[in-house]
Amino acid sequence: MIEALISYSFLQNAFFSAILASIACGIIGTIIIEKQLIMMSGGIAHTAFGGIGLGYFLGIEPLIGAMAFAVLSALGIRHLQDRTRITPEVVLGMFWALGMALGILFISFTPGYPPDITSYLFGDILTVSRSDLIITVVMNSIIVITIIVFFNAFKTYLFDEEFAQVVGLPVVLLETLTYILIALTVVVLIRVVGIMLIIALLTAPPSIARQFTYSLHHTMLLSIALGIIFCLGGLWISYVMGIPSGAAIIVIAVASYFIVSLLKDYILSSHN
Amino acid sequence: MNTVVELENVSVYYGNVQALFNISLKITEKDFLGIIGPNGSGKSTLLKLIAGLVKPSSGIVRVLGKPPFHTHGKIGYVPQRFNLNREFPFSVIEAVLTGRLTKHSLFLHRYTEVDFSAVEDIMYKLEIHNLKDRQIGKLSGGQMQRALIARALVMEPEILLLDEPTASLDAGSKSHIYSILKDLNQYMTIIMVSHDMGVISSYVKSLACLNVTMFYHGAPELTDTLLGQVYGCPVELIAHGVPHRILPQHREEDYD
Ligand SMILES: Nc1ncnc2c1ncn2[C@@H]1O[C@H](COP(=O)(O)OP(=O)(O)OP(=O)(O)O)[C@@H](O)[C@H]1O
Ligand SMILES: [Mg+2]
Repeated sequence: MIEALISYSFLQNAFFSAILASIACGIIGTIIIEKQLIMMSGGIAHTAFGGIGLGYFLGIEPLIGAMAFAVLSALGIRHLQDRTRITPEVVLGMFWALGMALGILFISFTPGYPPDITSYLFGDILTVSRSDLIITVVMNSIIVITIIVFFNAFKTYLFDEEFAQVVGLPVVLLETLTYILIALTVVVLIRVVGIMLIIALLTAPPSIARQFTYSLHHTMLLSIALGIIFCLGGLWISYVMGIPSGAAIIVIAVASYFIVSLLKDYILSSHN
Repeated sequence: MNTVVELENVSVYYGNVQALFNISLKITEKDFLGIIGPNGSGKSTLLKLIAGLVKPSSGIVRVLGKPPFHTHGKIGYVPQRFNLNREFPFSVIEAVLTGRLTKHSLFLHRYTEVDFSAVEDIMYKLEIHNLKDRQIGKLSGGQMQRALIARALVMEPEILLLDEPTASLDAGSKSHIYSILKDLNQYMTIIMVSHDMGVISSYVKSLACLNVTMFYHGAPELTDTLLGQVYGCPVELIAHGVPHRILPQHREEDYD
């Protein structure tokens, strides 16, 4: 594998995108868990499929279309949940399905041979291209820099939104940033695990990490480390056994979550 | 004396629920105002209005001469219900430290030595310093309440808003906290909601009786008639010259 990694550029791309995906995932996944935005993130991811369809239809990079759809849907869902009396879950459900429907429609309108959409739905880390990698690097830098710069403000906002407002922090700005960062993370993850599987890679690492630490940045760092283990593990298995990489990564991540949680419960209860 | 809080004909609606109706109120500097009233009478809403967390549906609110949305940082607030994330990976001291943040604490903010020593001082004072490294969700009700009072105090606010701050405290901690508040009151205006009449009569400088509208605002002297009006039913007063304790819907546990 190591020799192959040195000689094949597709494996190098896969390797770097696994690392970058884990960084975005560890940071934003932790925020999603603390703010209970898991379903929201699933909704944003699925809506992004509309953008992939639109990208094909217009002949532009599908990930750029996905980013536009993800950001706009994140802000749109938030706005409708805040400003209307429609039940928040309903807004989310509608966007979720509408995004998928639009994606399929745009693709069917696209003349010529239909593109392979499974790699967007279930991920295919072995086909990550140089341009995908560049998009990923840009998104990751935005995510990491934003969180580092506003770290104390984000912490306070995540812990107690009302009090953040009392001390005068710009809560609306922090909230908007959170949604935009979730959208960018979704874009980073689409090529790695695919739209359908994103939720598990976002939630499994921080759910494991937060069982072991009482500090936010440790949770984020530990989540990043776990994400790297899951992604590289999945990549390796998929390369060696020739099975779909996205699915391999998710199975490892979810299995690890249950094993760690059950083991921890078991060890704790046998101590008492 | 300067007026620090001024409400003119303020009403607040949540959808079609009327929480406050036509309230006019002036609170002067260094007052210690107690607010009483039955459940659902709009006491918490009044504090949120002053803290800038709720907007008036009509009328004008001025805090320190400005609309409340511009006074952040000068108003300390201890909420009645803790809408905070108890599972959050935060130690008690980190949670209290957030009281040192201001609207300028955005870019690459770091807590200073001064922040830490202010926080440790107040945590000693409120007897929660020994809990400082515990995860915030692992505090008991009363310990949590003291942590949140500490968080508001480290803001060094000009006005301190307390919404039933001692609802889950034992008798000893209660009088301890009130003696701290009495000290702070020398240089800070305090506005406190409480159902505890003993406290109201012995600590506050003025009293407001609220039930959607303002029934009374003045010296802390309670009469049967007034309480009957506010609470909508006759309320027993055990009086020995000084009104001592009333027993309306008394709730010990308001903590969730
Ligand atoms: N966020 C909200 N949405 C809708 N209605 C609300 C909201 N908050 C308060 N209310 C309503 O406004 C009224 C006043 O509520 P408030 O919390 O101010 O009362 P309170 O005097 O503090 O009561 P308590 O003694 O129980 O704390 C109540 O009828 C309540 O149902
Ligand atoms: Mg209340």
